[in-house]
Amino acid sequence: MRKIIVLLFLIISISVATAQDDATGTLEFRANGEDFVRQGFVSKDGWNISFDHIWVSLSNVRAHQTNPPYDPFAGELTRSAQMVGLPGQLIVDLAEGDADADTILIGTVEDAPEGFYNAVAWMMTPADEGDIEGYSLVIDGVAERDGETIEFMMRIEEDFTYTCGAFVGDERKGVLPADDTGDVELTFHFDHIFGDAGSPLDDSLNVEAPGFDMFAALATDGIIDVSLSDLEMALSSEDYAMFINVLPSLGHTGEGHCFESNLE
Amino acid sequence: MKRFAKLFFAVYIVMLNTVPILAHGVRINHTIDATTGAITITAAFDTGEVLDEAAVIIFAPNDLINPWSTGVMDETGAYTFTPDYSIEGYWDIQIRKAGHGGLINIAITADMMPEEVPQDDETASEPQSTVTLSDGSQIVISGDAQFQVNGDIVISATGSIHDATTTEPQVSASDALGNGFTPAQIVIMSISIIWGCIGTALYFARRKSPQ
Repeated sequence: MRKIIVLLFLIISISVATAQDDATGTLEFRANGEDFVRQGFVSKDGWNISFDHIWVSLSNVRAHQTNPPYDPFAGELTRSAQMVGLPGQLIVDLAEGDADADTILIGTVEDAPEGFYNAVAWMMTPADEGDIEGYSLVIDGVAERDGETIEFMMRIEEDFTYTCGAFVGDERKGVLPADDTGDVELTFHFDHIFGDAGSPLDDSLNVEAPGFDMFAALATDGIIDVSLSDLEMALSSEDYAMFINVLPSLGHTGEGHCFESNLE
Repeated sequence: MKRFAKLFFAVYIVMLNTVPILAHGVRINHTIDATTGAITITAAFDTGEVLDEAAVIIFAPNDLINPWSTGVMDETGAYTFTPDYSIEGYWDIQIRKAGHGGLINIAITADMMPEEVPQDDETASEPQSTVTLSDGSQIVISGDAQFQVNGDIVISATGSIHDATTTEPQVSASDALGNGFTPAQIVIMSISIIWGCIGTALYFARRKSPQ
């Protein structure tokens, strides 16, 4: 009799679990350097900037369903009703593809529970191996102004942890219906480093952005190849502070800002 | 004790180096007028610069894809709207301007719905009544009817107006995310819990029984 009771209990438990797990879909994780990276742009100080590669080393890439919705202004994400993520370290070139390329698919979770993924989080940590080993971010590009051309390579070895709320943008992202496909986006705003001539100079974006002039002054024979520690040595303390302060604001989800906690 | 002190010091150093940063963030605040139920949203960058004429996109919790409403902030970076208080849950309001934006989630519950302002005719909101309208020629229109009247018409209510939107309350259950369970799932879960209690009771009863 007891065996029957135990067996029935197990069958019912499995039935309940199965009923709850049925509603799943495919969640895509995408990275986006925006048109600034794909098409190039003019910095706040008039340099035409284009990129050959922008490599980021991503890890702990996660999407969360949070209730109440996560607010990045509130600090760390401490509660999550559902979480799915990508394993391992992922090296992504944000400049991949042509000027009209789609956002970059960095991974999928095939059996993600349905719902609204209204928070996304990731880390940028130094790559364990490969071309950018030891660096979390490598920016490889060309700057041109008034006939002067500078090839630049900036290698950043710092760790960054971004935690963002829901996507803000033209489309609605993060919604995953059952038996369907949804996506979340890791967005990177490189206009925060170089500024944007398309915005007024007194726009807070341009006020906070270092621009390119401070880096151009470091060029030798039209080439800049520096790590973050090189920049710390070469730039004035004010310029270096401006650069280091803006790096944590690179991570967004669409136009939505993220909480960045930098653990050294 | 020394090891504890070292551990405490290490944790302290880590906490000191945890630097929360939200550069160029958009700060969004809201106020709710308790009398009218109107919600006013204000938005500004961290620098204090207001998001004047920014786009406003409002999503209700019953449709995560399609906006419930859209609008534009005024020159002071403010926007006022009145939500449908019958749609309970977190309302998602996005503010966007020139490539930057942010969002705010506002919890809406039916009990936040403002009380209706009393009408001149106190019987106007009484349910289960009929409407009687009369024009200047003393033509009386009574009961449920569709009509169109042109010209300078004086209309007065001699009865009271039936609230056509009154509906029976719906019974439902939901989890922490607001995802509903079907009645079958609720029954199965209830049975599981009961069987669990029985199994536990039997287990302890067996332990107490003499060998």
